[in-house]
Amino acid sequence: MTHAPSDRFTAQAVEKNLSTQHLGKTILVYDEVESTNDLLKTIMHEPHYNGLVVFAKNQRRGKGREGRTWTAPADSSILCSSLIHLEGQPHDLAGPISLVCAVAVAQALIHTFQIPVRIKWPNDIYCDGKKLAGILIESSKIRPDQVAFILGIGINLTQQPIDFPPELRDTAVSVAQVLGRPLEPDEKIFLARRVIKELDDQLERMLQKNYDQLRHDWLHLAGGPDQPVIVTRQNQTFNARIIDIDYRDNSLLVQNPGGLILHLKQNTCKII
Amino acid sequence: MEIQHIRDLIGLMKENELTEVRIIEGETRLLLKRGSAPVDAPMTLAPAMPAPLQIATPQAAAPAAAPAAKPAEEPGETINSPMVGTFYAAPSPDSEPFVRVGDHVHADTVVCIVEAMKVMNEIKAETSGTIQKVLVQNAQAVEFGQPLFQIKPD
Repeated sequence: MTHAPSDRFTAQAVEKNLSTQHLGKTILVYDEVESTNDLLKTIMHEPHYNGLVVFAKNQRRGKGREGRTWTAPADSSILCSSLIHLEGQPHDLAGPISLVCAVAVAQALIHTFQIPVRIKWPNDIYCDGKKLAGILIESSKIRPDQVAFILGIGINLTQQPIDFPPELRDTAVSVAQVLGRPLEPDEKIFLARRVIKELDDQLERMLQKNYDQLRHDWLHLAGGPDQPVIVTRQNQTFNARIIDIDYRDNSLLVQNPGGLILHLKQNTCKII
Repeated sequence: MEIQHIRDLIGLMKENELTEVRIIEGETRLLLKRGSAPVDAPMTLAPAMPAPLQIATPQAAAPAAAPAAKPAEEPGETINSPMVGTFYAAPSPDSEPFVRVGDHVHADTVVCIVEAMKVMNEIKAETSGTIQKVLVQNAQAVEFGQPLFQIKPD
């Protein structure tokens, strides 16, 4: 058997022995949806659905940023969206929630498969220099002091190079490729459960305002302080080293070879 | 204080590689800061200053030294960005914009997305009225509090 039979991937299987505080009291698994994020968007304002987690075995119209699509053959990936309502303002929550997702997905992959993943600023998940998982977070203010977040996660599991669109073959990778073997039937279930558990743990940490630990974990999973990066900004490309994260302006602090410390914003530069 | 004086001071700062000069002369207070990095690069762990050069003058000071008028001066009410990020007028590049000039919006109408830290934040009008003007370009970087739309309230 080379692929996990998709009929074993059920909500009951995922939630078995799952103990969480915020997410996953209800888990739904769909055979096919347009996009798991769009599904949650229609009900994101409803307090009743706070904590809902949905998985899809197949997406007809998976979404990435800036209108890009997230393509995955049926049953090849974890395609998951979670809804969480958080107290606060969008500008205070956007930075921490972005890091929460990155740390949770990275930890889930490391614990389930013992593979060397690395976070790229702020929340892409790479392995062997190729993209293994992507995160798309959408938010909407639902009350003066409350924001609803949809945490969309896509993890490549069983794809071989031929399964990726030609333009992504050199830049995308799957867990099966990294491991060099097909996945066992239950491994997708283990990973799905672990993703929810890690997300829940990180959310709890965020609610406890333990931002220092979150920052520390992110930096560790990004290769540690001093991790070399290549920065492209305003048509200039230069080498730098990661120093820290600054929550105050949602920037990554890096030091350039001249010793200057730069605050890099996600929307003004590319960091590899 | 004459503009030429300020220019001279900036020249002296460059010559002597000074990053900050404060001058108080009677009613006039002047603070000049310069960074040596190409763009939004501060020297310390403090959050980035929006501009490498700042001129602070008291209310009555010469208007010549004031920065150019910002879109904040637009008449009527505005819908402002609640965060630093990137403005998107539509849900995706090939979609119709959330709103156009002339559209009537109410408090819950989504008017745009501002992306920060890869979080796509829906921005709502939070008031009802008619969109009169879109004040920023699609995919433009926006600051906290920057007016995005001019709106004529009902």
